[in-house]
Amino acid sequence: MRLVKLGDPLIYILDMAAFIGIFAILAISLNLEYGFTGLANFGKVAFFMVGAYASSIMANLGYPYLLCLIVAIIIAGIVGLLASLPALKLRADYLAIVTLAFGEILRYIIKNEEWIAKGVQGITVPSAITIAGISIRTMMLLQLTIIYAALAVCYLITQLLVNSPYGRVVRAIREDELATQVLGKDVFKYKAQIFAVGSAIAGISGSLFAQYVRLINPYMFEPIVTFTIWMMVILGGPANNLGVILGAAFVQALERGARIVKDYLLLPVDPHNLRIILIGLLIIIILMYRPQGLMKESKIKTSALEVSSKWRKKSSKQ
Amino acid sequence: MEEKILKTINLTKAFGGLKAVNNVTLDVKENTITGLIGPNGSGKTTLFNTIFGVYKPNQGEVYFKNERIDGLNPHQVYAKGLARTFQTPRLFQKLTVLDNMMIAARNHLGDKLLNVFIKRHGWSEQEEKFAEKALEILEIIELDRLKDVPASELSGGQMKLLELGRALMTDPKMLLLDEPAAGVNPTLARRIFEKITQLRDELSLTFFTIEHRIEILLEHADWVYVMHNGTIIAEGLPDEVVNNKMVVDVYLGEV
Repeated sequence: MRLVKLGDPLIYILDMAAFIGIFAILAISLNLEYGFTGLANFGKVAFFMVGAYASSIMANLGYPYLLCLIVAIIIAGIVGLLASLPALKLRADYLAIVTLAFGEILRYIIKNEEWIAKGVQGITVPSAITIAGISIRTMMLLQLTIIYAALAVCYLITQLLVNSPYGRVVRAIREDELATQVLGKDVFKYKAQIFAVGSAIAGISGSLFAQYVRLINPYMFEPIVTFTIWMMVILGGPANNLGVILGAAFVQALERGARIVKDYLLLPVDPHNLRIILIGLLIIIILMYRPQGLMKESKIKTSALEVSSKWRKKSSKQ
Repeated sequence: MEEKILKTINLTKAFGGLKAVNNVTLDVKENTITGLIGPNGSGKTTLFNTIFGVYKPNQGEVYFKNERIDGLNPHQVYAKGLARTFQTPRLFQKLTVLDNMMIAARNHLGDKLLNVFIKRHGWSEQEEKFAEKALEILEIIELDRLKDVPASELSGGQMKLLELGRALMTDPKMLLLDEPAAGVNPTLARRIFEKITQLRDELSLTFFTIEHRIEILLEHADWVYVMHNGTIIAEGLPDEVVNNKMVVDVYLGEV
């Protein structure tokens, strides 16, 4: 074992917590699309990137952070809607390919069109928190508060959405599109809405991410990010928001944890690479023995459940 | 005589060169059980799909209550008051029996994205009423004790019943049933048709139903169409149709 001067170990923990929060929001957004509605979005990172860039460009123009965040949400939502219009008419497997390609196209545009955001050089992001003489620790705690407040809001909104008649319809779309259609639901409209909402949520995460890392460039938004989010959803349990937050915590703990361990311990293998093997193994084990993920699909909780539970009592008395 | 609730005129649906539905003109009178029989592959299900907007017809017209409905999407056809079931039940497998029923609720406020947040009280109240109604229908089809079970755990016959219940939940004026008694035991098949007859009488519903069990259909249908190779080859009262030589040749003779 070697000893390294690292300063405040708490910083590592806080850093891990920040990434867990940022990715938990992304996991929730993919869960809404894939877990609940069955839309295989393999371009998730694109909307994360749109949020990050929209927010940062605004911040560089000197706008207050709240406005940057709102613009990021709206632009990511609109881009999501526009991307979905041609893609949603396609079968599920084509949707996956189209969204994957869309994400890459968008990334290449940012990379090569330097007038947008300095291409590969990336752009720095002015901090929203400007308090003179603030310690790193306090700064991080403040950032964490913002990230987790955003996570709480996203969780609440999606929970309201999936525990409603609307949420029931989107789950039905996942199970059988034609049957949902003949029961009077305009399936295309629902899918487009979910895509827009999911993308807007990814935009929130992108904005927070840019604020946290303070320098963004196109290499941060490669397709591997999308797959990381997919891992979180599959591990945690599709159609269960708590589950995917757990999944995000787990995958990010491994991801960031490996970097920490790398700094503290000298192991015969590089923990950073070991992490990839571990996550891969876990996915295989989960898919074999617990394909529904860590947590089962959540029930649809509406007032219908109360009526239903009383019904049992009524019929058993008779 | 009664009003014609559904009419098709020269309806044609082709897949490549094959005319699965070829120039079909028929009508279904209100408040009847109208049967549609014919050998496998004769185009019965394609006819249903074309009426319901799953397929766009190549030619011809469909009228429901004197309103043209061909060219509409399935959800718009539903809005006119039609409901349908499928030959192999298309249930929402992971959702509970009750949720399968609730999806079918008509004009639910909470089906709209923004209403989920801004009209919580409104849809919550509606939700309770719909749940009562769903449970009442489930009781009729004897699935109420399975209300919390995922649809995937039902038996084949129960799935057929649930699909019928789901179609009833939509408050339809007319139902297209694709073999409602396929794959269920003879007693249950008979009960399904007794139920259908009862619904026709009590709720003035109209049924257009594909069925292979001729003996049951004969007992319950008011009118029968016979389809063969995409065209209607005969129609009439059930016992007339059974004695029609052409029908016996192409269909009944095979049995």
